[in-house]
Amino acid sequence: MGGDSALLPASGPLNQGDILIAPVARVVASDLFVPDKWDRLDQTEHEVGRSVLGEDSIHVLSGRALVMVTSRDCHHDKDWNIERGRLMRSGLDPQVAEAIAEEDPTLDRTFQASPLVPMDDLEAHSRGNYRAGRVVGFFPVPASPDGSFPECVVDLTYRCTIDRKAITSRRWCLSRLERDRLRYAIARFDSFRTFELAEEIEAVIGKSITDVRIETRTGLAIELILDDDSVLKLVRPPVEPDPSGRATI
Amino acid sequence: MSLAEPLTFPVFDVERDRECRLLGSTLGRSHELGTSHRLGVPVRYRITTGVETTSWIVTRRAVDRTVAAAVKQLRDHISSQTRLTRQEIARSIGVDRRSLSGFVSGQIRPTPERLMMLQTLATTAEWAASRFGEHAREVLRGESPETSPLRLIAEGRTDIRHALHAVAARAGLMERAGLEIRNRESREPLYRKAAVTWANQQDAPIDRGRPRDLAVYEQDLSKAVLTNRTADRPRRKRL
Repeated sequence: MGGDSALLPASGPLNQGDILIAPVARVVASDLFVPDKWDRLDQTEHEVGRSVLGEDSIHVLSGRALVMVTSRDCHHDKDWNIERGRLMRSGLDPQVAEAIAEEDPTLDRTFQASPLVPMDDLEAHSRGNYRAGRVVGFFPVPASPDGSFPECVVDLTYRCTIDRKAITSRRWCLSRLERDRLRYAIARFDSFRTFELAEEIEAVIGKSITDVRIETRTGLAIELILDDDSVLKLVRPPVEPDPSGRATI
Repeated sequence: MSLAEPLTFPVFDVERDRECRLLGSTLGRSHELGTSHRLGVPVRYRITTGVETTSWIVTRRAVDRTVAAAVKQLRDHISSQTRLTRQEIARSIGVDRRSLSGFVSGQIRPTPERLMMLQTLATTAEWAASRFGEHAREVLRGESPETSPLRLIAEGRTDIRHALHAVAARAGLMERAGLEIRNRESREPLYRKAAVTWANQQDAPIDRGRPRDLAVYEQDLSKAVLTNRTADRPRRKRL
């Protein structure tokens, strides 16, 4: 993954794959357990006493961090855009509609993000696997072109819900191809865990699969879209008819 | 007797030849001598004395004696735990002091509701004593008779711990909920260099919503409804 092509200057609305500075936090037990890879993130300890409620204290470790947005674009500002559209259809100017929507406290303005962890903070013998994206739950990110951060991984095992108004600044975002890879890493971590078949296909053809299409009418053909926009078409071979005379699909 | 358990009495089921326990409220509502319609089987019971095998036919007087003994045990337990007076205990279950004395002597049979209130008060007293110690009575009584948490028991509430916490907090008997913050000695946070590098070239902070190409959304936003707006939700039909 080349740094110059993988990262592009960020602009426009919040997008999946944006790299930001934002606060993060996680809830821990009273022994304040901190894995070594999260030591840079856990800058402050908070103990929230809840004795009035007759309950034990809550311990939170927080800090400011470089994070990557993991929420899909269709999540960002969805409520805001629904309300903006509704107000504009009722006859308001776009600027007025946007101002009213911005002041509405009931509209969801959160997104999810995961922190960047420097490659040097991970076990040396596993860095090759992290770089190749083979470790489930981690997504490799090259060093930034402006030298603002070193080679990292996005630690998808630490996921944080953040208010977009808590963002400090934004500079870079993933290229389109890298965003596809990020989605694959998220899907693999959340749902598939070991999706070895796709990895084996990619290894055989030497290209990454960026999309899959199924011919819905017959279900006989599956098209794999590759990272150079070429298409690999998989066609189901004809089968012998069953005793009733029908072909089994 | 464990106060966490409901008030029960050991009885002997003559027809089934086995021991069982009846709720105090069940006995209190028995309409016939030695039978209970609440169990659904009109059978005769014999009260046993714990592990002893001697048993006898239930009579109304025997039931009353057992209930009276249980009421006395609960009343004394509440007093010893919290130093509440008998009048305060009586008011907590919605009766006067004479009625409570009648319950203890067996001259008056308490209703199942009063028995349940007494049990609730005993459980609450035990909890308050463990949490507030010598101040338990003060917390249970509250600032005034009109606002006393004990009134809630007389109104049928079975858990008044939050009300007791509120009284204790106002009286300064409890540590208030608070936030303690400490800095950790962590390694150099990754964001600091980026913050300096991006100081003059960063994208503007995203502090407001942005109009977005509606094609990215999975549904037609012009037909979408905000789910957190109760006014927009269709009313549920009554069956």
